[in-house]
Amino acid sequence: MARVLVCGVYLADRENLAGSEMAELGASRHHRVTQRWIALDINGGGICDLPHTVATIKVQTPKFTLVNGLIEDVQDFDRLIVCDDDVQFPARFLDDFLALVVEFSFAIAQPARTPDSYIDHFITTQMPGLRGRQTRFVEIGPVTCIDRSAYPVLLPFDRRSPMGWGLDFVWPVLAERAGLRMGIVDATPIGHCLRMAKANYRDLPVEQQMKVLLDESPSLMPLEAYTIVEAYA
Amino acid sequence: MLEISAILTTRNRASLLPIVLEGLKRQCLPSEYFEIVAIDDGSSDETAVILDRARAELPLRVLRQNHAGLAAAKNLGIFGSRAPIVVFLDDDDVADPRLLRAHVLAHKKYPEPEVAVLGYTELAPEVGKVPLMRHVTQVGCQLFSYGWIKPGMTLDYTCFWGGRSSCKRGLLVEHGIFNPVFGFGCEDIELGWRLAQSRFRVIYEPAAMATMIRTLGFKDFCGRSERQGRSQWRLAQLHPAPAVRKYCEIDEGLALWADNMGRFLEFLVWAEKLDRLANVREAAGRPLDARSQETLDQVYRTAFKLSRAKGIAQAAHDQVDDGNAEHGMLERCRFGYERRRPGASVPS
Repeated sequence: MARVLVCGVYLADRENLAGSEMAELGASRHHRVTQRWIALDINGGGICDLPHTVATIKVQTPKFTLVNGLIEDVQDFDRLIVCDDDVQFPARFLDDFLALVVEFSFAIAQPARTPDSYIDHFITTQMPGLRGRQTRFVEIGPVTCIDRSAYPVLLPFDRRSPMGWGLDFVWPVLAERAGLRMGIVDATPIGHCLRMAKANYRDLPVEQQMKVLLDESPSLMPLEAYTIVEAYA
Repeated sequence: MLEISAILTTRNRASLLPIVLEGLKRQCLPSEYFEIVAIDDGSSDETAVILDRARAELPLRVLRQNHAGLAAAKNLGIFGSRAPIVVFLDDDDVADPRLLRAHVLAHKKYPEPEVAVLGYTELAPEVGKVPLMRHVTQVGCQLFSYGWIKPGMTLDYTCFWGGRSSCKRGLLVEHGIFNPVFGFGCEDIELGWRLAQSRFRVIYEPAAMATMIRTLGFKDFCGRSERQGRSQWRLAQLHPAPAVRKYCEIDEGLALWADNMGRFLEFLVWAEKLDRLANVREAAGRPLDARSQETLDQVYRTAFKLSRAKGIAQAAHDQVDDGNAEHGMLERCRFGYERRRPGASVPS
């Protein structure tokens, strides 16, 4: 039984799926799950009292800035899962997903996205013939799973890009240097159909932050990152 | 330095694979410039053993998936590739020694990201003698249709033919991959249609040549045509543009099936007998006379057109039966609709 820390941010004044996500993640039978969610209520009047809500924030604050504030004791957990609020999980998600993450020895992992999801990077689309694949790319959301072995490499999340843009091209370099494997699990795909990506962050200087991050950090080019190293049928 | 990845998708073709792999061993392009990425789509025969053995003599990587169809297999090949150019190969085609080099040179001549290259496929002499194979490549052109294409000609997305085309890997991984809904047929044209919104075009390079070594029988080709019809229906549902509907022959197919479904089986029985007769005469060195040949070609044309129409009509019927489930899924499918900015990571 692993100790799993789930950290998430939900947009309290928008339609979201955080409540059902909390219920599904909390239904794990094989792991001890601790959930910490932050309600982001920029416009006021949102529903901020979902279970596992540890704080309500009223000013626009980048996702990874908020998450960094939740993981000071992350060493007490075997795995960290960072979760957005617009995810549809399949039943028994956490147990099935983590079993495969362990089987494939992924230190950094994500579930694939269903083909009907909004897709930001095609490599994250579910591959129907696979259970999973080792890749050189794991995206920063909507669900990212980090094993204890990767904490020294990835945490706290890089403050130069507090919304996380570009981190997924830096992570593979850091992981490979540390001898860690990353990958995508296809057998437990998640739906990401509620909102188009980017819809809520138009006012943030995310592109400039990403440029600074990628200029200053060793990173992969997209063509290098969008690569499957090994496939698991 | 790697120049080209050859994506060889295969399923239960262990009897042909050694010959296909032999063709890849004879490439003029030095082996340090290419890799072969073989995707085993859930084979249950000796495919895995043959591929593993070939790794000793070829720059070959093998990736296996549970049977998921051609589009899914090709996608696995795209992301499993490492070269800037990818060429899709069929598991019943033997590459000419110049094939990979010709694809590389064509892309050097046309470095624009949105330009793909179509190679040429001929029939092996023994295959070309079979009346049906001659028909589907030279008369009815249901399999290949090269007669009208000139070397260097610029073609549209409808000529992005699977198993004989190459393109820049970056175009696919950043702008569109195959839609795994398509298990067989139309997966190439569907992707081409999406890419065409970004000036995608195809250049014909006949020096990139391969030889088809498999003979299809009459029943095989009818079954293939039926599956093709199903895929045409899916394609037209996914992209409801008049040009796509016309290309897929939806209205024509539905009308044809409505008028002929009662006579279909009887016609196929008769057509198969005629096909058998033509084969026997060919084998005996006494091919059909011109008038009989004309009749045979007309019979083939009708049989395959009706089989496609059957596939279209059945897919349409299934959609109604399923309470539009498939239609709904296809409509929701956002495969490559949004233009994406390469390299951007976007949290929701």
